[in-house]
Amino acid sequence: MSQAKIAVSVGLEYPTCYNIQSQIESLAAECFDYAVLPLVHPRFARHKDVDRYRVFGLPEAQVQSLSSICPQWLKLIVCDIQCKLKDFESKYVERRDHAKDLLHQELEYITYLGIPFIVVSLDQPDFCNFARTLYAHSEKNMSYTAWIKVPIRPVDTSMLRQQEEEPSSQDTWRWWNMFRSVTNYHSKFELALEINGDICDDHELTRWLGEPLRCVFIPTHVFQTNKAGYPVLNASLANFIKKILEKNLQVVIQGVNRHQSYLHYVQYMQYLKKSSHSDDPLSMAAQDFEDYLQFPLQPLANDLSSFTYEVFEKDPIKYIRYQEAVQQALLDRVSPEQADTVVTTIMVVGAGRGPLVTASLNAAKEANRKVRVYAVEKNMSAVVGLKYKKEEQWAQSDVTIVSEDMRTWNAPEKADIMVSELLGSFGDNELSPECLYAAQKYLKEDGISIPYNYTSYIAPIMSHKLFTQVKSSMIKEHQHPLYRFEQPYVVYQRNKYNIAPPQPCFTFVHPSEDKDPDNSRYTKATFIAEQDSVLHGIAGYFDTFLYKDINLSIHPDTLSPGLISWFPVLFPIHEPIQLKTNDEIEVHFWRLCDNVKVWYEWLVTKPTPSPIYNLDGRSYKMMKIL
Amino acid sequence: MESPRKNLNIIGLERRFDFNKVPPNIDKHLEFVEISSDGELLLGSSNLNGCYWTGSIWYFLEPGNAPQREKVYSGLNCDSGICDGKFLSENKVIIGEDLGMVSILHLHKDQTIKEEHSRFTVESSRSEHDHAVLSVSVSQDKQKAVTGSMDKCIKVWDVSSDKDLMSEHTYRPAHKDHVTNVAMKHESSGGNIFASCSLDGAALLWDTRMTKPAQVIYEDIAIGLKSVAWYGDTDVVIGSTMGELCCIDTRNRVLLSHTSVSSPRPIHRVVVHKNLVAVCADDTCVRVLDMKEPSAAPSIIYSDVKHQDYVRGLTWVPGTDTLISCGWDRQVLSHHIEPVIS
Repeated sequence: MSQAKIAVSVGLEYPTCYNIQSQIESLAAECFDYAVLPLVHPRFARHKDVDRYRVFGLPEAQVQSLSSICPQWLKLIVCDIQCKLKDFESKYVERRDHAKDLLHQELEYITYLGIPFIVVSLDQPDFCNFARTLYAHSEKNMSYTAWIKVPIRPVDTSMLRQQEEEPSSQDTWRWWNMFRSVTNYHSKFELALEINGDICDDHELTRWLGEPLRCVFIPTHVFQTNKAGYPVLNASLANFIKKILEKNLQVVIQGVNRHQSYLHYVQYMQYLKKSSHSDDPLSMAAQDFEDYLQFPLQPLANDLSSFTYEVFEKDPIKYIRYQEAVQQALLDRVSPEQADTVVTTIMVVGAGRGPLVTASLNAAKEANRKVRVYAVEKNMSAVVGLKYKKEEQWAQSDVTIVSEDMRTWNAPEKADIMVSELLGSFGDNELSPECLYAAQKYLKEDGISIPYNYTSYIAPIMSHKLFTQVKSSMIKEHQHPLYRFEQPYVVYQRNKYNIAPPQPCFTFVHPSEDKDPDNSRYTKATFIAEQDSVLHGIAGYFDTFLYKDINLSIHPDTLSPGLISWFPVLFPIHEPIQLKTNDEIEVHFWRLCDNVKVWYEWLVTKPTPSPIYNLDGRSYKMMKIL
Repeated sequence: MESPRKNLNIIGLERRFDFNKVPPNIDKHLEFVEISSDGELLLGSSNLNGCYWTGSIWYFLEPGNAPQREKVYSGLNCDSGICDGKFLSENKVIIGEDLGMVSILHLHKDQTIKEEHSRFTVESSRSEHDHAVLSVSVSQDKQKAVTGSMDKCIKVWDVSSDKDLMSEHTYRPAHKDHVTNVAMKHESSGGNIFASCSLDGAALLWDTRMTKPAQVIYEDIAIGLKSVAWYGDTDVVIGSTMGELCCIDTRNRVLLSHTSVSSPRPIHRVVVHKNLVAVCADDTCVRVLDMKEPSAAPSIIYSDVKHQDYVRGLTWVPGTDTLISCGWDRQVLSHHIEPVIS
């Protein structure tokens, strides 16, 4: 385990800036990485009509003296912006203007100083004037990123008050949702959560984790003290923080030290990070691909590159499952008595660089059955490697290399077992049905297809991050205005919330009893929103059964452990749809085909209708011909 | 003299200053002024826009000499700005700092010491608030003190002379926003009853003996409240961020009067002497209102604009009709208020 993986970025919040040099210098000794501090004194009331108005912040020279401590001093401070939202929303124009003046003045100053990160507090449900001012300034000056600090629960004083008070059941997630909506998903605004005592329930936490969360503020007063005198968090809070640290998010400690040393808070965070560290191969493999949008492969229309094959062949479990499946099929098909006499014909269709040929030969060896293998591959470059392997690795076996498209190949005999790996993240999206139904003509009547079925699944998701990524992707002149929202994207979805569990979409079975099966499909699915949320798109998954119960799955509930070959797929929508708890979400999916292409169309009709996306495959299509 | 206070609770507090020495300068923003029972003056100051956001506390035997540095009796540096402080006795004061510290300082009057050495020593200091302490109030019997802070908390302290500073009650959160002011009830409350107000728009009456100690006596969530002061035994006067002053009967929570004083500038401090209510706000004016008839609209009987920046400190000289003010213009001014003859 590398040191970098355990490192936790922990900041310390200071209420004032009494001596910035000494404050920053002493951070390192306590193992903090940066400070969150005000550059305008929090009590420094001022107004346009006094001279002092113009001399309001920590002097520039004093801020810049930090360069003597560290040349990258700008990385060491996050500016805590002083503003009162109540003034922005006052019914008195004078108060509103004054609040705007002060915020504008402070933002101008931090822009001038080049401070890259600021924090602003969203501590009440009404903030539209404030949001407008900040949004307008950020649009003009893209120099800083603003952390929007939202309390995880509204401040609750009802325990102390004699008068009955409305229990503060206000959901602060709605504040954030309102903020990001009115600021149109501005890329420079990130979410920061402030813990203030009790934590919310698991559902709410999961929803927060799906947001573009940058950091979590933890006050020292929420820490408990363990027997040895060290600060610790209660179990539910500790679990939440572990999830935060797992995602490499940051933590800011706020408040006076209530234990022996501030260092102990940082050490506790390091401890949580260590204990949260997982060696799950999928998350390791996905590390550089988190929330990174990729276009799905089209292996039928475009020959894959050697590098792509290389990546897929690294999957630790996929070929083991295939080998098990072939082995089981051989054992079932050929009795032990026939083992020496019967030769089973295996056709690997779409053999690529040959991993399934190897798996089949291994299976035959394990099963102690005789096989003849045909490796059919249309990618002529890959065939070069197959021929080499035949001479070097498979020389003892009966392997025939066929450089043909499986759909048009005239096979010299019929196969007992047909093995393929033509599935994409959404099951049929690499045109496995089109290929296998064409190849079925050289599979024996009682022949076995591995895989013998596959099903795609769809689920509504909320993901600010993915939505903004799709929204900001490039579009060319000749493309449809909705082009970027009419693509499925393959993406390892980290920053997202599952609004409801997945439901099946399309299923294909091989071989088909029908001679000329129809590969078009239509599905309507209804989901129920588990809590208030926003629909940003539809996630797609698939599972497949290779032989009997030997399966591969990227469905979240049945995910094959260790499988890394497929990330889920995302079907975006262009306008987020606001959802209330128990809202019905009705989604329609089509798989449509013509002579040259196959495409998906999708549509949301409840709670509010969207347009039909990718009509007639105008933006995205899977080509059947080269 | 005793060693300088140690503080392990805030990091980066370097011993930049020699805390045993009288500091060379009074910080530029004068924040509060108090007069002792024997007529001597305590002054608190901060530096809110310089390179170091420090504070200092000053003592003048002659109030008329304040704030002349060469005429101070003694002074002491503080780690951060000081917003409020009160006398506990003729030689003891309690102050609250921007870093959340609450400290009791002892003033050594009886000893002969070198002029450059401070006569103040820190008797006891606690870092329990997480943000600036905006207000300190002491009970009449000088046994209890209460502090309100920007950390939304209120703390009640045992300040009886023989003990170290100890917090007896911590109300977290006491309000939903900064606690801007706390005021102990004067008469026969034993330090158990006090009022508080906050930017959350609520004014609360507290009784620390109760399990649910707070009672809302006034609330307007559209505005913030900045200052609260007792007017007699039962009424309180509250100043708002909208520059309005209202008088509330705490027994039945009835609003007795509501007056615009400095609108729309926020009121900063309210101090009461008999029927006179002195008010300063985020402007340069010192105003005095006569509230003889709490239910009638009070009239402004004195208004002075000799200050050139915001007025922050206000106090009545005990037993007189003289008001002392200080402000961010470095001035300490005395105002003689003629009693109104009706």
